[in-house]
Amino acid sequence: MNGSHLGEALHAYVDNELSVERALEARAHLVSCTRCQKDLEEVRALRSVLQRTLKPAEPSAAFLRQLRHSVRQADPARWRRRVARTAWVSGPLAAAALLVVVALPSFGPPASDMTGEVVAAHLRSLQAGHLTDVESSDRHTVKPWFQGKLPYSFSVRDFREQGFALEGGRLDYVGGQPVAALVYRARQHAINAFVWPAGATRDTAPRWESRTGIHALHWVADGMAFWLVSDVGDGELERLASLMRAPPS
Amino acid sequence: MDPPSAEEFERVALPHAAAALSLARALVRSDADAEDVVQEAFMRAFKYFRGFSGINPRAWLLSIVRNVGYASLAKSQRAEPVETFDEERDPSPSPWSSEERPETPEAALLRAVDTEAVQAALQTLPTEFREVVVLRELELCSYKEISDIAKIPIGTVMSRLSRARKLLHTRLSEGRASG
Repeated sequence: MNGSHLGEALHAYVDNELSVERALEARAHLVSCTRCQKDLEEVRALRSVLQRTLKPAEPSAAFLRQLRHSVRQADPARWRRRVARTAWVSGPLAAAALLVVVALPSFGPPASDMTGEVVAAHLRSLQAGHLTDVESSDRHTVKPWFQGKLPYSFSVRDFREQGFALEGGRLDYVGGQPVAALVYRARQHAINAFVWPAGATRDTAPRWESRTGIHALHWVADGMAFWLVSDVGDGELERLASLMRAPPS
Repeated sequence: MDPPSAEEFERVALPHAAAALSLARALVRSDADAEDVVQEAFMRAFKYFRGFSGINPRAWLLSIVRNVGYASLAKSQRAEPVETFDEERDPSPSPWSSEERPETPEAALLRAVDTEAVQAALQTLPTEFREVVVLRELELCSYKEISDIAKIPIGTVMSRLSRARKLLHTRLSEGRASG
């Protein structure tokens, strides 16, 4: 391979994995190099095929039940702790019941644990049929839907072209208060964007929190609190955050 | 201190069951075997849960799934075509950069490719390539996460991913060309 071409670095460029400096160099090279332009087009075409066709595994309810069962069998403390809380639910209900159990421990108690609350809300939203109350990729449909349901308004934008398709919105409850949840989709991963008035809090830069492998990115801007919650790679959440924080073009 | 309970473990691990199963499926290439791999990986993870740093449970679990998956491949006589390779000694066979590419626009060529074709093409790749493709394109892992899961340097993540994509592209293009 000719050393002057991007080669493997082209992939890191497409994946947003180059340092700012090297990404700028790559971009400058791409302006004048038709071969690398063509390679770039190929990588992007392939990635879009993969993202359209690769489907995540969907563990069956029976398998999840079996998984829990075997872990419980291996729990050395199971006799001490056993509480009669595991009345088995069968069939499709089992998966839902599982999620509730998963979400419960971090939900409810201290209002100061906002990360736990939004992560719990995120997990609840992934239960079948409860991701969106209003399902639309049109922000002119989603935004008015919240009017009258919430005592505040906020901007709703679609970032489909940047890889974050608006799927709709939902009324959710965090800390006992009704809040807006916008739903974006990055490939097969759902991202919840929670928005509510931040009160007197000053603006803050995005900050990471993480619970049980679910990432949450939080910031305050113009009196509104924002939480992005998802299991996508943290780089993706940061990218969505910077899109949302950028002024509308 | 009490040892961690099954409940605590489930709270941390179960949200990643689908990711675990996706990776296992990519490694062992059979749904039933993949479930076995995930089940064993969860048992093992629970056993070592006390030593877990708490930082990135998904990456931690996936690295265990990967170990169990490879062990299962090594055991099964349905022996993988052992396509190990050495990035340094064996630089890109690079269909990507060859000059005699078909002139058809890539997008048009690949547009009609469906899930089955992609699965079939993926199956022909060496295990090390299948896993980076699934971790990156399906699980949206960063290079750092892939490096942690597969225990390889970030530079190797980049080179495996680039070679995996080149190979996939070639297989898919061949598939399209031959009908």
